[in-house]
Amino acid sequence: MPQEGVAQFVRSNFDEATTYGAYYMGLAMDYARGRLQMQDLYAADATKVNIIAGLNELDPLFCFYLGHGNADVYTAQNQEVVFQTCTGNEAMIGRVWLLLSCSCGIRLAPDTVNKGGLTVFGWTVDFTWVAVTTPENDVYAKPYFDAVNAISNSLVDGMTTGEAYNVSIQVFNDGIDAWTQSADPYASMVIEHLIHDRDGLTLFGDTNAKILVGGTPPLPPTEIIENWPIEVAVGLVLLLLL
Amino acid sequence: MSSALVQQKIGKLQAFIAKNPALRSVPFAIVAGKSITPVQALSMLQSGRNAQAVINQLALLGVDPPEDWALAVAYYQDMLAKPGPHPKIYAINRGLGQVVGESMTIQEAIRHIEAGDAIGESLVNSYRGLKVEMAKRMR
Repeated sequence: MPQEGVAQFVRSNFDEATTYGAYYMGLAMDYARGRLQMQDLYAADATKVNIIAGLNELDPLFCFYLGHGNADVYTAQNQEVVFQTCTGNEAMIGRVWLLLSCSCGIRLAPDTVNKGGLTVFGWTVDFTWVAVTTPENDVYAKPYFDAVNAISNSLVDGMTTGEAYNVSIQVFNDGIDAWTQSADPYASMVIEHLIHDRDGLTLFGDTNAKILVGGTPPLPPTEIIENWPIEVAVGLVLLLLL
Repeated sequence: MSSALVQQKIGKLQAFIAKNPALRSVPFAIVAGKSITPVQALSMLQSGRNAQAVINQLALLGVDPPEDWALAVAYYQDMLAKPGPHPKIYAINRGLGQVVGESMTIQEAIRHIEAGDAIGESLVNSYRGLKVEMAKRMR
């Protein structure tokens, strides 16, 4: 049974687009630090083998994945196919899955819930944004990923999946409102794609699920498992249980 | 009238009819003095009979009005005329079903809309969202 308070973050990072997502997911991890036990599969570590091993060994309740995708496919580093509609997504049974990948909300996300996935957040459109400079400095890209991270952050705060969805929509709307008042020459492009992403965000499955029931941090409360060999991670957990 | 545009309307009508069988035989427009249903409109588009009139009637219903395509081009041309650096449009999609591509310049966006391809259609749909937001704020 998936473990409350345990999370797996998959941060593909191999091209211009994934650079943005990987950076902003790092901020979501910073927010969760000390409250979730996290596995961070970053860049070259974001492989199918590592993802499946992490799911099997750590059994995370919450999974936050970034990668290129389409209606039927989620891919990780270098577009390695990890899950497809009808193939492999049984691994997500019982889990809360935030799937930051284009168009997976069309078939892969509902198929996963039909198989027993607890909740899937997905987009029924291509997740799009505008940007002009590097992720850490780009004011255009920020509101899109703030709205995505609002889901993760809200779940870390102990909210239900339904509440987290509502918070994300509100963050999208706040971004739209803020940019409508901007004199920036490209403000309307930011608004255009915020609307597109807001309207494409869909919640599948249980709207009352939580990843931290009662908000109690799991053991080990401050430990981050970043790119550690799985034997070390499992050993650490066993040690703390003794 | 481009064949791509007609094919696009045919696809939309086929999808509509498949998803909304209860509405397939509801008259919704007058073409050549006669009321037509979605099924009849599809038949007319497929045969080329009164195709332009059917497309005009669909536009009156707000179904993919052709002026949105011209407006979207004008919109992105206006963006292009602004001082640089120009932002790019990003997406995280893959392979089949790919709509936007990993990243796209404003010039490329205009070319896709003018070509009437799937990427252009996605951009026009995004532009429509902006139009709806404007209308909401004008009320």
